[in-house]
Amino acid sequence: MEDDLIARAQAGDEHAFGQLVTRYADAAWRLARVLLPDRALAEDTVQEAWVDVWQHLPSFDLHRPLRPWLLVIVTNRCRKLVRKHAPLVVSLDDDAANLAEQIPGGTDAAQLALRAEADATLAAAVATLPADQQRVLELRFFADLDLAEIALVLDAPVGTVKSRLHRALRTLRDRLHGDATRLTFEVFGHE
Amino acid sequence: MNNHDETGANLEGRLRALYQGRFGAPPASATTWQQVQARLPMVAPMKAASSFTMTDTPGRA
Repeated sequence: MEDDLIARAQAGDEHAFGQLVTRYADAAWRLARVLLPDRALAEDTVQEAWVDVWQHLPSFDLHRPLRPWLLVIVTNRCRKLVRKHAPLVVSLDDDAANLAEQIPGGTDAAQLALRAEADATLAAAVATLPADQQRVLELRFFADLDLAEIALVLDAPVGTVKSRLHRALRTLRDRLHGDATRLTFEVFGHE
Repeated sequence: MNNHDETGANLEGRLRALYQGRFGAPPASATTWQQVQARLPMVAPMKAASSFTMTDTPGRA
């Protein structure tokens, strides 16, 4: 099915190419969003990456899966941009706006406060991790890449990715467990 | 043990929620396609040459 779409797109069928774009648009955008500091840049870069795919599709080997090839193309586009515009910083305003959009209306204030505290605790714990471990977490839990795909994007061995992910999760569990214990102690005290 | 397992599963869910809040939701795929399609007339697909491999990916550093 996918081979058929690719073959038709290779022959210049824009409709078939559109179906491929639609199928992988989410994955490509999520990857670019992790690798680039703001949303507009990610969207523009992904569009450029799709144009790269269109241009080079006639030479694509149909025996290979499309998704890893696309992920590498998106990664390369992002790397080029980061090199060109470095240093890029993450916009905190963007974060705040996204968080504000996420808060559901009509939710109990106490629950919101608890959730906000839990979110802040987690965000603080994540922020203490080494950058390479944070990147693996983002690629795994936002971009939804599997270990082999993360290795491809980071140009690192799968074993390295696996150990970074394991270390990051273990550290977070330890820190959050410590915080939970501390909070329980502070709230309920000791008698 | 149950607590540890639950913490692990919860942690992954909480990380997903954290990043969803940080990075936002993807645009509609149909919108992406419209924007990509508008760019296609500006480029022509390259003629098939030799077989394309991962290491030949365009723009690879």
